[in-house]
Amino acid sequence: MSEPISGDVEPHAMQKLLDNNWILLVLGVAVPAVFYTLWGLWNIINIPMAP
Amino acid sequence: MSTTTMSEYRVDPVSGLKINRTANTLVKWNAFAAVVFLLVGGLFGLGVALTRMPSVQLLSPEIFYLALTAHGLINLAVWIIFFEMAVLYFLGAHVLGNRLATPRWAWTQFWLMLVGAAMVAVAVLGGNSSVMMTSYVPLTAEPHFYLGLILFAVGALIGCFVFLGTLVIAKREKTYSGSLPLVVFGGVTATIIAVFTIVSGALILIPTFLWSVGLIEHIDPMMYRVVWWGFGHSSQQINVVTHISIWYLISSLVFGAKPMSEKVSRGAFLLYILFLQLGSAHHLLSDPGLTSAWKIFNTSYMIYLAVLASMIHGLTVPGSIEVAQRKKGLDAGLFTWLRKAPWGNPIFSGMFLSLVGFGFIGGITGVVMSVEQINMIIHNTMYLPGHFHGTLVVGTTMAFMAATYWLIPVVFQRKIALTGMAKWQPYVFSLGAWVFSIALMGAGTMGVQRRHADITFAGQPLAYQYPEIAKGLMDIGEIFGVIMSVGAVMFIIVVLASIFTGERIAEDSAPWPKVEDADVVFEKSGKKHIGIWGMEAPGTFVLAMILFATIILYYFINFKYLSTVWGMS
Repeated sequence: MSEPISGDVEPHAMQKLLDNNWILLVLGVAVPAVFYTLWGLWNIINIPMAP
Repeated sequence: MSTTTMSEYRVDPVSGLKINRTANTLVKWNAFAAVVFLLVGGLFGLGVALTRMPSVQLLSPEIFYLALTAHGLINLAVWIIFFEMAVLYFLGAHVLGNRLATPRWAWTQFWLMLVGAAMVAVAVLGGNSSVMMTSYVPLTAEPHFYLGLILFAVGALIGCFVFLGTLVIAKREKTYSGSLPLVVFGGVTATIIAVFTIVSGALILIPTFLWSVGLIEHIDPMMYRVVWWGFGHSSQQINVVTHISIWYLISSLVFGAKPMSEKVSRGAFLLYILFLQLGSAHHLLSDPGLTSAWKIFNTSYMIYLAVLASMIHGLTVPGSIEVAQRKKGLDAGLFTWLRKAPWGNPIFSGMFLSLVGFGFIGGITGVVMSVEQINMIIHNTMYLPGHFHGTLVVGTTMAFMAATYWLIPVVFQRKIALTGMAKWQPYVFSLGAWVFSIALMGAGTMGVQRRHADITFAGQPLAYQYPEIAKGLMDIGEIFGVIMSVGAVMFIIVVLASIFTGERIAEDSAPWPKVEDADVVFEKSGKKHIGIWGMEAPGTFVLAMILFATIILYYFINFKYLSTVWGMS
């Protein structure tokens, strides 16, 4: 089910990315951590306290 | 005993896969534990369904909340994650003809998850931890409830890294060449989402455990909700990715199909890795502390990239089946390929019912309810259980059941027993689950609250009368919930009967006939083209257009409904 990559041809940058599980892991954790978790918590921390 | 049976590997006569025995034992135990928990959680679910049926109301409120907590945790987390561990080990070891990295750590995964699940069960059945799956603070559960969840999550995290380590070994020992097969890449995607999910769970459950034993004074409820949903919703995204990988696997197994474009499918998995977890924000669309920018960016912009990925998978899986069927001669008309598909084979029927049901019921409603304005109509109503049963039961559970019918001969080396029951099971289960989900969403649209034992509010100081049709929808939904339970029991009977009494498949038995590769058959046929209107998969194109039209129609119906419940004058 895979498309083998010929040893003579340098794989495309996107293919290199898709073949690197560890970079994908970093991206897959970092993107939601920044846009969802950290930004969300930042929103809550910055709620002004009631006088 | 022959040398082959004594060796570390065996060649499976059913699939032709080279199977590592140690890995296979772990696949078996994780899959078996999953099915046992499906039975236990399903029984609690039946109790919940028969209580939410206004004309029955089986359980007292105290027992109802206990049962709801147990059902949610066992069926949303324990059954599914145990099964996913089995799938990951199967993909990493069996599909790649590989051994498992660190089997001892894999056993640690199994026992930690089992002990964790048992601790949670003891806490819930003790009656003092009826905090439901979300366990929102300041609701307090017993400390061993949180500790059990933490152990379960740590076990799952270990399983993820065993899988990633297994891939490292496969690459080093060259058990595959080029890129990972697409189904294994789907497993990588699920694992990455799982890591984010489990880390989020640990970040919030560890302090909550410390709070429950008095070592921390206060947990901010709003912060809890943000971090918890990074765990709670993303855990369901692992399921989506896993069941989509199973769709690809089954289309290849049953039809000898190949993805229409493997590059596009991999790109769609990448979109999942980057954006799918952001959908967690839609649980917080009515929370006051979070800004509209955060809500809209996450739910209305970024999540659409993940929706795009789902549409790609939803198009390419049936498309690949159509292309394979047409290449094998079923090239007439728009839907001959579908009509003549093996509908009596539960591996295919279960997978296809999962695909269509997930798209039309779970998928469309998930997209529409992520719109901030529309979410206001249905937030915290029965619509939500309707929606997530449309994803997790109609989609994930049905796909896992379909895969099990293939896995039993391969992993347990037994033929499927009770084949007549197995043939009907996907239809009974899906009929129940589809109508259950739709009816609950209908009731939710009328405002029926979730998480309440009695929609009549009998004896409550603030009574509220829902329209009679809402009660009728709840009754209909729960009747079909019972039918869904019958389908689940049929599945469990078939699985247990097959494992314990099914005809044994000897290791040295003759290889089972292989499904012919569609490309090879096409080449032999001497034909040059398939399809009509210049398209290779016109039937799938028409189905995709029907899905598009349904999304648009449903979207506008909801905005129209919003205008009536939220008058401007």
